[in-house]
Amino acid sequence: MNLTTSITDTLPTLARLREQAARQAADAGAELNAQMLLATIVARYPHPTAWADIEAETKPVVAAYPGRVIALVNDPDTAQSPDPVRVGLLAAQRSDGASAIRGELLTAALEGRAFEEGAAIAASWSASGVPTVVWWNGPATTDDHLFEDMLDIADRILVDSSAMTDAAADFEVLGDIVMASHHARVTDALWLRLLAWRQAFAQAFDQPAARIDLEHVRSVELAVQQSPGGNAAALLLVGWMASRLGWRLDRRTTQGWRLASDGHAVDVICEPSSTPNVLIEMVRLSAPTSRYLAHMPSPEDIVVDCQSDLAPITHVAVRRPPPTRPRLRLDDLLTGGAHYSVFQQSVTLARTLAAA
Amino acid sequence: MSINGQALDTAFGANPLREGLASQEAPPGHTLVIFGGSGDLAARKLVPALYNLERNALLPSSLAVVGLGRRPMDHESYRTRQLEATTSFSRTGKPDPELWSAFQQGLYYVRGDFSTHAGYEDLKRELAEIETRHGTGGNRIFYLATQPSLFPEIIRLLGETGLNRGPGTTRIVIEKPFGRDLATALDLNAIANDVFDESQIYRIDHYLGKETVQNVLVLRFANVIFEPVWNRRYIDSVQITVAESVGLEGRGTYYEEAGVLRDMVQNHIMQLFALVAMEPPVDFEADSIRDEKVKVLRALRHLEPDQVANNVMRASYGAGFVDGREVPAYRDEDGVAPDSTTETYFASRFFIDNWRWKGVPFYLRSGKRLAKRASEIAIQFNEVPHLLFGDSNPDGVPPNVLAMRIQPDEGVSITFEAKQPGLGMRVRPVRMDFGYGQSFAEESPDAYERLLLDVMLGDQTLFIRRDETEAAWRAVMPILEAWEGDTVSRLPTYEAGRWGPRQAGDLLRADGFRWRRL
Repeated sequence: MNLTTSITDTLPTLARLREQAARQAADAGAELNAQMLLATIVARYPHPTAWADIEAETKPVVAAYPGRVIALVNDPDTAQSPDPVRVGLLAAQRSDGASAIRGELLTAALEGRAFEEGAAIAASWSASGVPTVVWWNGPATTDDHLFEDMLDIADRILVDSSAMTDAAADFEVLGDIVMASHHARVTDALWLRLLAWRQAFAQAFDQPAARIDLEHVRSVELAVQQSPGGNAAALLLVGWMASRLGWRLDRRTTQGWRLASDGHAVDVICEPSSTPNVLIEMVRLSAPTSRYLAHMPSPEDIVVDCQSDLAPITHVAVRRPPPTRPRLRLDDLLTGGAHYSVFQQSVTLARTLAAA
Repeated sequence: MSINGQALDTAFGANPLREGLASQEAPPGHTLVIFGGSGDLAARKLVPALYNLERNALLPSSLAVVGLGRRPMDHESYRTRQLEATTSFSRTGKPDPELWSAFQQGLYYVRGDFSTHAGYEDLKRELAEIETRHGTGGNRIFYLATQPSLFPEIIRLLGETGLNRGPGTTRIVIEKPFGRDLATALDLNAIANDVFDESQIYRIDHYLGKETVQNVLVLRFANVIFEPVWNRRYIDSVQITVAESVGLEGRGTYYEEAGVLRDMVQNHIMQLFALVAMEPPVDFEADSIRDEKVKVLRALRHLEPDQVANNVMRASYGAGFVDGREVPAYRDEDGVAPDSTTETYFASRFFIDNWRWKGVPFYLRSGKRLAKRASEIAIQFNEVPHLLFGDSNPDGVPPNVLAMRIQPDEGVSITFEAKQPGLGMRVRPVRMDFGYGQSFAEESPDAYERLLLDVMLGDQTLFIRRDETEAAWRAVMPILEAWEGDTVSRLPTYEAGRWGPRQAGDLLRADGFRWRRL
């Protein structure tokens, strides 16, 4: 259920749609699910995107976390667009089979300067009293008026570092932004994509007996997709590991970096992966008497094989479906911004590595 | 993480990679030994819960489950039986064949007589073999899912055969009821604490594993708006209801011995009561929370024998209709004596003698075959000290109520007053509602999933400490003793499918309250 309207009449139109839905539910003898908005989600689409595509992408998110989605679509042909502003309700099926309204979708197709000034529209359409989250759909930037505005009006901005084109320059920007005290916190979809890898390694070293190996790691080998996204993923994962384990940059090497730990070196070696669809295919940590191989036997699993000269092989499995774009966004809504210092420190290290 | 109560993390340092990922700490390998492994609890709750943990990759890769029982059965038959049960009872439905195939490799069945030393010596040998095969590190959990009367003997024999101290951590899980009165609870605790250290003992009340019960703590201590008014100055009364629409479900013999006081009140309701009434703990550590629960249970005003009749009401259900189906009276149920005086309904008024709650009545009720299944904690606030709108509202306005719904339709609602639209100044109560289902579409884990994982992780926060269970028994003992001395030939009855006996309303009416409609 959606209607075309104008920017000034958007919220009254939304209210009319809600009344209409309530009447229909009452006529059908059903109870309309009470409205509960937990967030305003501002989604930036840098290229023309159809209503149906935006709806398909946002519906799974609001189904789990009710919210008002404001989609700002950059469309150079807005003048020809039949419906520059549309509003609709997003319904999802409940566990009892009934359909329930879980969110609202408001889209505005804007061109040129109007798109750059989209923050004003987002601010006027936002639901009151709930956090505003921005889905930026691109890497962090200091060269975009809309991004600058969003840093002031939003509570959180979800960027995507896998779309970085120049790791050194882009991590420099991301590092500056996450360390600065803006109103909005910046979180990263790439950081969330790496969660299963981080989880797998953390889990492998939950065993106290294995923990001693962390102090003796001599090398980290990664099989990484040959792409800017793969490169950014490797930088962020190594940055995370280095920040957690107190490793510092010693120097750049032909295949990666040499890091300095307490009293010994840790060589990080990046090799091209053989699987095209994953950013990171394999990570191997080696210590003098043990090796930890994290790999993906299937697209849904990361397994860590722990091989020690002193103990039998053990396996740690982290079963996690590959995160879809809606899933990443939901994860950001539910957990983004938590443990921010870990993310900040990881980005700082990644920036140092990228600049070396 | 600990070995027989001793922290391991302190020796090896915390896992530096875990920071920021703390919510999914993986437990170490374990062997879970279930006494009563072929019984109902294992089939309906424990194995489905373990499977769902496996499904969410929360179990250690080296986990073995050993069901113990007297029935003749081999490992394969046991696995088949558990697959059927998990298909029927798991919240996630039919297990994924590939995942189940891997999971069932760790399921074993050991038949034996566990009332003799020989049975435990056999078990010891089996465990050594299974532990080597699965690389569990010798960590063991003994889960008592048998008839409660067997608990003392099993615990004693575990001690006598040295199974209370294993090569790794050893823990024991004891299902409720923890005794059938204070004396038997003290005996059971004495035996358990003689054989095991308290840090090894996990007394399980599955109510504490429910998300909404844990939410009571979050609501109280993660919100600044409630705690300042959570006391006698602002709260008029508290009602705690745990109502069931079901009857005995084949447990007539057990229920005849128990009654609702032992079955629900001494454990579930007392736990809800403690969570609502306790002081803020200094942190979220197990003992900090349990210390506060014990303190408030000890502050419950002791009922003298002659006060029981005025503060407590019991009854049993008569025939009636529940969910459109005719159901028999309690005394006509299988396993129930025709002249039974076992109560299926309980209502009471308690007071807490401490600074926070002095003078605030706590009304507790629970029963079987009531109008519907509903558990709720309702906090009724005081009336406004001076009503400005009395002219338009000559009968006054109803007080604010904060209701925490435990099940079903889990959530929280607040009733407050609002101006009715119009030219007058009519005031009407309106309800602001938070529903778990509406806000969080993700399905909650079953209570046993949470609790089994906590046992493996060594987290005792949601388990009942020795002094807690004893304090809860002390609170209800005057009632049990008064009933035992009261030679009634017949309890009052209530029609099945209703909200209990009429007399239960008198308990509140005298104080100017009434039971909430649920």
